Amino acid sequence: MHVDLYERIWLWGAGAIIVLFLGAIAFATVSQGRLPPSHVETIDPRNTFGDERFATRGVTVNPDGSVAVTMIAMMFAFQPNEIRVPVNAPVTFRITSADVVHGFQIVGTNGNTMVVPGYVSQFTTTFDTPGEYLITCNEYCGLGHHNMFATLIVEEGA
Amino acid sequence: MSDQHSDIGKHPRGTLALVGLYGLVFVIGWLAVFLLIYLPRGAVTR
Repeated sequence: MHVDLYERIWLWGAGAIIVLFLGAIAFATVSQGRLPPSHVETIDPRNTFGDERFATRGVTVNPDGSVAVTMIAMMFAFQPNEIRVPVNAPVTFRITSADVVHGFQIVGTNGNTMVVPGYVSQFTTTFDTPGEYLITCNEYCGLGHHNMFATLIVEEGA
Repeated sequence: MSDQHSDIGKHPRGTLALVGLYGLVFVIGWLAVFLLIYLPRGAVTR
């Protein structure tokens, strides 16, 4: 079957892009263990503030030096709005939503997850650079979406 | 047929070149973000 030269170029180009993107995903998965969210923990979205897991929100430092951060995302804020964590300590974020789907992105870091009502989003990461980081909602959640942000402060010896 | 119509029915080579250039810039930009920003940040533990 005759295929025009230019059509062949397009076909091979499209195929190469697909292979490149799939290869990138495979490489990141194998080399760094990048996986989709696997923490499945449910919560009644009508009672997030009353649930004992989220009744107390904020930063907790465990005896082993690790840190747990508990937050609730809602239209159009994160609670608490400012959190302070120590540098070079594993920090586990646990976030849930009181209303609609939100995003939780710590700008300039690898911290990024969706926050879905009815579920607890959780991930652990370590910050090696002290400073002030913007936490922003990256899922459009309503008219006040652009005002939905919080601040993460990574401190030396906190 | 005059010379100015001699390209009718042929491939638009200039268009292909522009789209190809756009694709090349896109792929280079994407790889730069992937290799220089995304991978160095490392993975979180889920």
